[in-house]
Amino acid sequence: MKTESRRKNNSVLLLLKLHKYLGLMVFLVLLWLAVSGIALNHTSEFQLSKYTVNNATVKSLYGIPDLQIDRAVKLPRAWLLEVDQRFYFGEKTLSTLDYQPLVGAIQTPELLFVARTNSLLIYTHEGDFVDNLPVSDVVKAMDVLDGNLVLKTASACLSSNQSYTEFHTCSSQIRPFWQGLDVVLPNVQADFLRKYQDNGVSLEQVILDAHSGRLFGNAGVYFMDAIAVLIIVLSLSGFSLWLIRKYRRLLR
Amino acid sequence: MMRFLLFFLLFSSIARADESYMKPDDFINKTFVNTAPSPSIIWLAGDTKEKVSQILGHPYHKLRVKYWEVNNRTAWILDEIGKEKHITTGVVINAKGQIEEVKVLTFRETRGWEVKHSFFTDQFKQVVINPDTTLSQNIDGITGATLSVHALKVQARMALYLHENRKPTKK
Repeated sequence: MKTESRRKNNSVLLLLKLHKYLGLMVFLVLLWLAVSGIALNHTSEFQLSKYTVNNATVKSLYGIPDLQIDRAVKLPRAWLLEVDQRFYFGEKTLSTLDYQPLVGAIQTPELLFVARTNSLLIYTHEGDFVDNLPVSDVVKAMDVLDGNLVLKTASACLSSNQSYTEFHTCSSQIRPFWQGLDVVLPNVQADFLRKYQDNGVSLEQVILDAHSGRLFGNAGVYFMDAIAVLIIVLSLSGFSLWLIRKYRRLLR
Repeated sequence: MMRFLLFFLLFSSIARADESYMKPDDFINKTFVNTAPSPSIIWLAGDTKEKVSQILGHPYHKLRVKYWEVNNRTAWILDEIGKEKHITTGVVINAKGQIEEVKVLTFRETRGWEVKHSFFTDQFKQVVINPDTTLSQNIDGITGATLSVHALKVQARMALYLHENRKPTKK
């Protein structure tokens, strides 16, 4: 009898310990699930979709890279920036047929000339695409002399005609002041990110993914599954303890 | 053997992205047998711009179009988006206003490259433009290359229209 009673008490103690430690293990996650669950139930009232999360760590979890300026030229009207194989001039993204690295740029009173390794692109100051001129040799630098565009290539100097439709070998008389790339100042980088880095994730999406564990991929999902199993065990152990106490009170 | 075949097929499909078949300069030199003239320009403005936009279904992505002409025979190099990227095509039109040749110069898409083949481009030979800017002959499509086929057709129409209405301007 005594042994039976001791065994029963040990089982209850074991159940109590299990319940206690399980509770300790899951209480933080449970707290998070409760809070995020309430938030997700009231996304419209809290306007969660209006807010954007731009945190670098969160964005890296979604595979969204931070934009970096690769090359740049300072022009009178604005900076010409090469970012992630795209060109930006002021507020405008410049249209191109394909990607080649930026070599230099020049702004005349009428047009914007953008030199790339094997081509010259022509735009208006508003960023409208005028034309592109392939260059057979690798372009190193450019300049404008007396209304003619001059390109320095790996093996020669090329000068365009007045209508910028074709190139000819430069006259030996000219002395261009070759213009190339500029160093990007920190304020330029910051300004660009402010204008163009609106590629964060909505707060609603982040909360939803964190709630389900998907924010951390399959590992997060399996973690939440494990927590769910522990919560089930916690509920059952709690219910069992309640039943035992009630049964004992009845017996008394 | 099967693994090699699969690898070859995979590599060949990947290798087809962004292929240049002929440089624009080479196309012009071949068309005019090494006596290429200086290019003329048409600025797309006013009625011309509107008509070109109607043909393409959207504004042309450049403000001007270059062409080369000798004895009323013209050559055009145009760009048009297939699905997502531009296809650069050369079009030669003879003095009678008939298409002499359509040649895909650069293909940047990953699919639809079948339009580069002569079995497709030969269909454009001797085609002229109708008053409503449609082509005078039907061009058979290619399964799986619908958008590329469309791009080439509108480029042909645009070249024919500009050929008929060319009045070169210089700025």
